[in-house]
Amino acid sequence: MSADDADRECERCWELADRNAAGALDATETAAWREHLRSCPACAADAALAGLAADLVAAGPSANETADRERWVNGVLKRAAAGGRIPTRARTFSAIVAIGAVALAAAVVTAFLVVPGSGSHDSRGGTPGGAARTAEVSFVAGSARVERAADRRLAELRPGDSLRPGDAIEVGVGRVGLRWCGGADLHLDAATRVRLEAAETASCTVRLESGRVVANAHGLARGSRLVVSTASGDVRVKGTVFAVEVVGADAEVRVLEGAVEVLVPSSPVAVLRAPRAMRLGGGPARTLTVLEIDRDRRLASIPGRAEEPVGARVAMPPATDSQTGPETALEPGPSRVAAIGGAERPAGRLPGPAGRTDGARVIGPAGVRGTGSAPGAVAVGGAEPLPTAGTAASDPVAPPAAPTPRELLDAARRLRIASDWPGAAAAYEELVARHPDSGEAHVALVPLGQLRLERLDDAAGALRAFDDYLRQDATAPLAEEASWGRIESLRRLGRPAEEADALRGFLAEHPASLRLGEARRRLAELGVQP
Amino acid sequence: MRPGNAAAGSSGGREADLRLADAAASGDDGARRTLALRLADRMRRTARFLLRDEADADDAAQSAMVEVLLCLRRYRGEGSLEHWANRIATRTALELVRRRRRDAEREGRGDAALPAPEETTTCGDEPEVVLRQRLLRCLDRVPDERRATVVLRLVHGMTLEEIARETAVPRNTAKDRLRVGRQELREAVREDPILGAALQERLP
Repeated sequence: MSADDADRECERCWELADRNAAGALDATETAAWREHLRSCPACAADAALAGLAADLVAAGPSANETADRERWVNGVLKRAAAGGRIPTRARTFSAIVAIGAVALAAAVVTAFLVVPGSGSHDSRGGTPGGAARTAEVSFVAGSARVERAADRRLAELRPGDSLRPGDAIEVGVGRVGLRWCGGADLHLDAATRVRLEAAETASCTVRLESGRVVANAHGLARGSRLVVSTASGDVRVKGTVFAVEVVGADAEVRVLEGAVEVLVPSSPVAVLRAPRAMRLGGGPARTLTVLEIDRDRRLASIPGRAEEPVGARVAMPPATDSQTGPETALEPGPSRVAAIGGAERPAGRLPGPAGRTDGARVIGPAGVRGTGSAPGAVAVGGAEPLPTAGTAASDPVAPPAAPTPRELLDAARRLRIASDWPGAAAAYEELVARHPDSGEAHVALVPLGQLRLERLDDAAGALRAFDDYLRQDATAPLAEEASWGRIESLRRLGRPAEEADALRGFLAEHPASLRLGEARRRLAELGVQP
Repeated sequence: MRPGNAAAGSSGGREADLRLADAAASGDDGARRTLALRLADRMRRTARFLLRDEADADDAAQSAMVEVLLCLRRYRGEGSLEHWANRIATRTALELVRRRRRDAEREGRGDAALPAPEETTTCGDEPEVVLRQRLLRCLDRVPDERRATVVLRLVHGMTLEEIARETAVPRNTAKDRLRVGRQELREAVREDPILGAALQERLP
């Protein structure tokens, strides 16, 4: 037998081993598999290793384990009693904080928001030269928790709460507004986690561990500096509106208004002016040619106000060297872009339509226009004005807005990416509960069912979700997924008669499915003719 | 039978598991302790098989146990408590594997810089302990992601589809990792006479 033949034979053996693991081999296949093991030393060694490894994992406790078990369990019980948090070593990994583990592990970018203490910037609040030592929660639209530095306990975050350095905020769904540093506003998106790190005489530091923050620095006290900490580089922003988002291992900075300074380790300072975006991490910083701003604009707006149409984006014209400034570290080449307008202005005097960027154009639905501007509003690329830093906190009548279906779907996606299965399921459930007639809610039923089935050990809940999806429209695009999920749910629930019915229905309704073979095998196991 | 399901137990056993889980979830300290003591060894071993670094494995096992204790209401008795807890331990350890991988990539470290495995057994250890440590030393020579794939297959008996889902990679990627990882593990085992002899006894 040639090596290729042997490989093919081993692949066949793998398939058989797969199905053996799933308990799906018939007698003939079992015999073939055993015959292969007799003639293939590699597969035989694997089988022996598998048996040994499984036995070693399942073996009784060793003397060391017995001696150590009590101490270990005591530590874990103590940690569980504290809600999952313990004083950890540098690399200790918390299951509870793992809500945003993927993004949290991925990135620590630092964004610096700088308002020089001298020059053209006026103070619009706060103590000159001194940042506020406490942050105030200006609104909570959705659900969020605060972890107090003092006792590490989690509590529900409420509007008006005061936060101190060391406190951390986890936004579940919806969004949260903070006012800090004498008047700067930070809006936190769903599935975002930040920690307030320091409030020194002239600087406030926010660590963005996961998710997305939009900051409006126009209310920043004169001479104050707001620092947002992430991993891929530093960004200094001068009196502007900008968004920082952790995206996997990278960070993305989007300047909606004004200018930012970007500091990447080992590189000179780059100046990025609105409307401009830059990706940090994984090598040199890259400027982005199209600035997606619709979500940032929505996050920057005040809850309760009319939402802007979705889909607006700003295309940026080619760059010129003079606009990026002499300190720039941007990569040369066709994708390089330059600053267009968005000049710095005194804090508190925010631009109306006349002050918006030149040369930028809006691509999007009608209605995204720069008509009118409330006092203090910021125009972004000719789009609807953003609210000011001041109005977010000072408008007591603005009710918290319910998250839109799209926001909830987005939140669920983020939570799934962060492997926060209960959180993702909760976001899908909230979407279904709040907006039952929306298309998003219908689509959400399938991933909700899959989460319950595969991650949350909730086969009954999964079955309900799949049934709901199919009840609404049995021919919808995800009908095959929902039908198969329903079959698996019934199997786990130990309802063979209903499972057999579902399998027969599946064979009839999805004759081109890749799962036909599996469905027939399962029917055979159940003793039912297809 | 899958190793992971081996402890699924009878319906009576599952009812006892459910009662224990309910009591622990209701705040019964004795039940919480009993449950944690019962699950600890298996969860720690599960994490250790997936993670090269013992401290990482301990962190992952602790985090998984905390999740088990905080989420007992989610246990519905559809399998044994051990199986349910081990799934959580596996998932938690895999998250840490991915995190370590990203850390290594960000710091420019590759798989070549695997730490040298350490001898951790002594003359008086039980045979199972010796074999387990030797197998772990062999696994330590397999890079993290391939190691995870191999362990999910050999120890947990997962299918390729399940491995792909658990490790969040396409099936073909999982297959490639498994192919190379198995070869690396076999080569490592071949160089260990004691482990090699134990395997000889198990060959079909």
